[in-house]
Amino acid sequence: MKKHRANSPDPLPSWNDNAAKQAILDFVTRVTKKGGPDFVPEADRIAVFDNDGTLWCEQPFYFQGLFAFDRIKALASQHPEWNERQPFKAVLDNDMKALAASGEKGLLELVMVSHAGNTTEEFQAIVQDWLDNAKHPRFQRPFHELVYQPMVELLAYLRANGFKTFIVSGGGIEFMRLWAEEAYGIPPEQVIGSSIVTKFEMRDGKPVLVRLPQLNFLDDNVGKPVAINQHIGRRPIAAFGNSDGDLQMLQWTAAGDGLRFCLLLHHTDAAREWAYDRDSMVGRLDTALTEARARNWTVVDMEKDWKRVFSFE
Amino acid sequence: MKRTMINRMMGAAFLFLLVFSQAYAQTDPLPSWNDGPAKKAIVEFVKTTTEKGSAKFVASEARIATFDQDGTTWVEQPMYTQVIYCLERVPAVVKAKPDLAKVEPFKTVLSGNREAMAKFTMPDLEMILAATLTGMSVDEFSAEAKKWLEAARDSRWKRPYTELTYLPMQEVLKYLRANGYKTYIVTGGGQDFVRVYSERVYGIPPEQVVGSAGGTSYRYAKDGKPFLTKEPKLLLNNNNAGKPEGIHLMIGRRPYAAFGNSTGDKQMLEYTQAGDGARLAMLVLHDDAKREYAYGPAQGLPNTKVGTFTQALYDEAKKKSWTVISMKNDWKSIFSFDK
Repeated sequence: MKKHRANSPDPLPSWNDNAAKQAILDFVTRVTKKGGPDFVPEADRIAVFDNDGTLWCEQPFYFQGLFAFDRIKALASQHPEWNERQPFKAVLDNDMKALAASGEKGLLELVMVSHAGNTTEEFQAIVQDWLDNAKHPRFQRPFHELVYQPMVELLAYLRANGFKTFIVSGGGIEFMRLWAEEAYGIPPEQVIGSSIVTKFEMRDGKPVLVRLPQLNFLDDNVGKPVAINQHIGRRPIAAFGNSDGDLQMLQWTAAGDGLRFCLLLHHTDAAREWAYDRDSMVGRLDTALTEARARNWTVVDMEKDWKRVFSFE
Repeated sequence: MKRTMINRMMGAAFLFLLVFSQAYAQTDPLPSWNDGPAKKAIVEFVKTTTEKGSAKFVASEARIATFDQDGTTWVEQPMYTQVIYCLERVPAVVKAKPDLAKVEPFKTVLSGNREAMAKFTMPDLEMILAATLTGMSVDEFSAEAKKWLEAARDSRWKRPYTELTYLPMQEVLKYLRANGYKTYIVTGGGQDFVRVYSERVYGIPPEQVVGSAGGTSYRYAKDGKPFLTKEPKLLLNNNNAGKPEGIHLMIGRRPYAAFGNSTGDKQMLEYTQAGDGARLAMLVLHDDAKREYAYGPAQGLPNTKVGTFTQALYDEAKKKSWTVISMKNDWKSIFSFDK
């Protein structure tokens, strides 16, 4: 394994000098070495990243879910019936147990009510307002500050080596596009996520896109390779995730010819962030962890491999 | 003595002019365009959105330009190239599923009766598209389409279809990119088909091709290797209102410039123009039967089912100050091979 040259600045200063960091440096060195056996032309250097739990925090609950809850609370005065109706009642009462009991169907209903019924521009303004004002319950900071510094460095390092970096997330495509460019340097057109149906309409002679309460695409599990194929049209050579929802994306990436890189972030750091894996309701990492071990994918131990987690530390 | 000096100076000035005019000729970014309102509109748009200090300056990351493909960047007559591909794939499909030979519309395709084929209804065409574009893995499809594109020849010019791109539009693509624009194909045609050649032919990478797209399903082969199969289920119908919807889903920004040639592009142009600041909306009018084709029915041109440009669209363009490109008057040459 070729060591990173000591005289050039360390591109990953927030990573400890462990196997995970070395594996990243080694992979990038090999695919960018002209004339080398593993060289990949720049156009094919596609790297895909899950978002929740991979690039930013996802605890105590997916941030977009927290946005949905805040939105339901803001809209509640117009809907007195919600005081009696699940899953809305659970949100208004902060009753996580009742919320969990409403299942996927209940969550989907909350997403539709909180995310649809407006134009794309109106929705963007609502999300922006939330980002400007809402604070994370534990860190008391705006949510978009809770991005992982080591991953931001990794994104920049890959791009400096000719990679095109994409987000491929189960989260909402429009929700992420609002802040991903500033937080990660990833432009909207390289953000792929779940989406609801939008409909083109003329309002007062002006064209608008109206967000309908109807799921267009669920970008999770098997949906991830499908979305990668639809949006990118090339197979990535590197994939980064942290949960079972990322397994198929990593499998799809690994199945291509030539050198490939697959990485899972294992949340092992209750002191600085959270520790969770096989039994977590949010970001469960179970079968993917087993497969990663069996296939020698890189598993990042957050506690041991990261010098720091957030830029504000 | 004095005279020699003057001569020398004259000579130097002449040389300077010569060099300067040559340099100038070399820097004309749109040499296949005649000087006219269309060329002027493009050059002025680029200047006003990219020159520092311009009141309508656009940040480089927001510079998005979208191009329809069929009839805008390449020939779409007498029939969309992808439909020809599908029709020519039918024999191979029937070979694998012999029962189809007795069923319409496959029977008619196999008969080779072009007149009968021209009368196909949408459901007929959909059956042919489903049979020839789905059921295989995405890699198999790309390989088949690539092979066909190398071998197939257009009936009029006897050239590969990928050579039938419009040189003036190729120049616009390059000119925009040289000025920091990200260029996209936004086509009603199949996304997977265009992606097979977009990078080679237009310099547009697959991730910047937005088109109608079918769903795929993720499965595992016996050895555990995953593959994606093309399914006869539409993910995105990228035509008419589907174009701005597709742009929003796939790009997530409103374009600053949009180019089309038919009613299928109307909403994309409306959506583009509705943004703030300088916007460029252009439509190619095929009014050149001699060098290419003439069809509308706008401006009394012959009517067509392929790439219809109605008078209503023409009137909307005039009303909204979109630029209509006259192929006949605005384009010095049409193809790179007819220079």
